[in-house]
Amino acid sequence: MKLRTVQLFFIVFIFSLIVSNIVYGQEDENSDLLLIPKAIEDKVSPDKNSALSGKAYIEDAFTGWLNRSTQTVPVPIELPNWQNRTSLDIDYNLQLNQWLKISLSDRLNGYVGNMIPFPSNESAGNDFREAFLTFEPFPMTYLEAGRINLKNGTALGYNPSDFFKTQSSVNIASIDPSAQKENRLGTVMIEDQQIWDNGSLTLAFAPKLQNETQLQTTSISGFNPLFGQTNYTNRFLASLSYDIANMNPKALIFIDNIGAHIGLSLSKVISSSVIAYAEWAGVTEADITNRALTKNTQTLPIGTMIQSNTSAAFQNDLAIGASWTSSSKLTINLEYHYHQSGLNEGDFNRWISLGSSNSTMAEVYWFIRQYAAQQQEPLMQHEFFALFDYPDVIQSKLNLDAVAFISPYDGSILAQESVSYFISRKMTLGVFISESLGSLLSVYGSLPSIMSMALRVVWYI
Amino acid sequence: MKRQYSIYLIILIFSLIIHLQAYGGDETAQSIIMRCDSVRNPDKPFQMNDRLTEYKDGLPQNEVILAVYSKIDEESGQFKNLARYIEPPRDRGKTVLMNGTTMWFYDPASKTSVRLSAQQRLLGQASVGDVVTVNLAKDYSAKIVGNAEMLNDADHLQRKCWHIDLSPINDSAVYGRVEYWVEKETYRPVKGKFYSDSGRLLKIAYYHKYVDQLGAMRPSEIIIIDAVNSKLVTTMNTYAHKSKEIPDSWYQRDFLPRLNIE
Repeated sequence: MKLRTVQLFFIVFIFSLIVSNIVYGQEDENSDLLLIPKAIEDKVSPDKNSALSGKAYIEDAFTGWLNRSTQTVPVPIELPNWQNRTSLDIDYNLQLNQWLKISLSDRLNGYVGNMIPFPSNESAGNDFREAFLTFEPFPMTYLEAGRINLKNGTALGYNPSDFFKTQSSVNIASIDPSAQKENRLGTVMIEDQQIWDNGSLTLAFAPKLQNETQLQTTSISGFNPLFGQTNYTNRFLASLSYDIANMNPKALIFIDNIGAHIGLSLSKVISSSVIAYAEWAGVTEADITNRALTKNTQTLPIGTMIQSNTSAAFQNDLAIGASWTSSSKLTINLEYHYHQSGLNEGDFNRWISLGSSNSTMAEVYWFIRQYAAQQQEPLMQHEFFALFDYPDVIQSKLNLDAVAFISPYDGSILAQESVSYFISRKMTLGVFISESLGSLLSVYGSLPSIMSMALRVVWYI
Repeated sequence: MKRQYSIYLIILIFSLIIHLQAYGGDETAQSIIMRCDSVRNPDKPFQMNDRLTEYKDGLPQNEVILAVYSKIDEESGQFKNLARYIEPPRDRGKTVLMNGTTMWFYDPASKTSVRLSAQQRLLGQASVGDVVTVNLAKDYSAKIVGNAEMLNDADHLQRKCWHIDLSPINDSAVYGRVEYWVEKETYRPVKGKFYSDSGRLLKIAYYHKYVDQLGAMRPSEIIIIDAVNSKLVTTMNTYAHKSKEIPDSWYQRDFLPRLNIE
């Protein structure tokens, strides 16, 4: 009996050895070699390096709009049906020596469209985005002077602490905030930045160069560098970042003709697929209606008497959100934006009511919306933002993206879906479809365009 | 009867010894992976170029060239990395920072930096974690599962290897599990199999073309086979290695716009 037990144990043990060898050792690992293409085996190893410090491209963007036949508050200007923009875009920097570097970013545009006579002074324009000199007298100490795009903020849909964003946008086809960041004008300034092991200090002063220009009601600015938009008052920024608890906080103080703004941004890794971030800014200022109305009093209809909160109060701005990435590379960002000085539901309904009954008030209503867009701040106090980024839907060929601004007041949506197809290493084809969804009385459903479609071809030189 | 019992017992003990010898040996799994890491990675700060070529159905489809700046973090023992795109033109100047769980992506077009999660892969079939320099021994716990496996390398030459199973021990680990074959005596990696957190095989890598780089023979090519779609293969060729003094201050968000390719 005892012997049979030992025999049984012995058999089980030998069997387990065989099984473990099958699991760990005997699998035919060499069959994976058959998956390596012959072209790789014949390939010659690379031996060259091509280091370029910038890029240039030619872009053609054709945009068509489908406008609403009826609007509750009619737009006071005629709207375009189509437009074509052809651009030469350059963004280069050149290291002159160990200490000096020069940077230039510019875009030359040619336009045709049903609202643009050809040829005319509206047929061409230039976006002079950046031109500055960088001096590095000591390692990690940078002094810069010129027109500089100085950006801050961690959120994607709205950046309360990006203080130089106001009046910096130029004509683009996309509603995507990242596209607006790419094409905005810099501010003439002198800047000093010190970078340490775990943080940095940035000081910037942007002087007044011109009196404030009137708010542009057309999107094409010709060859005007628009210093009256970007340098209409003296402005000062100090920002300090220091990595604490892996949250990368950044604190900012910004002083302009409104007063002293303070800002804070931070971000945190929650898990291997989730990032959380928040950005806040505060300043004592009037509400959006009052700021818009006092901005361009000359262009507003005579006799406009609007009841708004003219007294300044401390106003908070907040963008809080998170990103999540799936194993298939799809990334979704969701954000909530709070803009205390924006319109509340009662304000908005009052403006819709006023604008629908009176053409003068309609003009004022659209002027306020235009002002919010130029300031790159939300019109309303509350909004949601979503971004979907799905790269490599076809490996290295096709990316899909979508952004949406959602009004919590009425559920209306301003959305854009885009497809980028990489025809070759040097050529990209893009299609952008935008739509505003909601009732004619809603925040986004009241916009004049139901939808637009842009076809974009980019050829890298 | 008693004699037969003793024979069985001796065979049993002998088998046990053989079994333990096969999966253990004198070398511990962790020390093998550490030595293997030192074959792949120089122990001083360095810069290199990395050319990624993607193949579909055996034909080259796309190419990305990166300049990579790597340095060991003295506290963690793990590498800190900066990778800047040189090619293709549409991505030129984009920069990825990877320092432990801290990852940032800088886009020169928008001149903004966005924080990334480890899951966000930016380089097609190869992940950021594949491109940058990583000490596996710092992120994974190793276990020997085969002591003398004969395995063909990418040149179809037979290598006697340790077969090692790696399990993540911190959030910096890019993969849920890794199988690694390390050539005995040289400690050169021959092959790796990389799995997701759910246990799905994601990619198979062959370490290839050993050349002298910064004072040691290191693999200058890694062939990555997509395990989900085996028609997709990526090669990573590293070249132009240079020792370089890299300040710690480079490895933070605010430096990304300042990086100049040398």
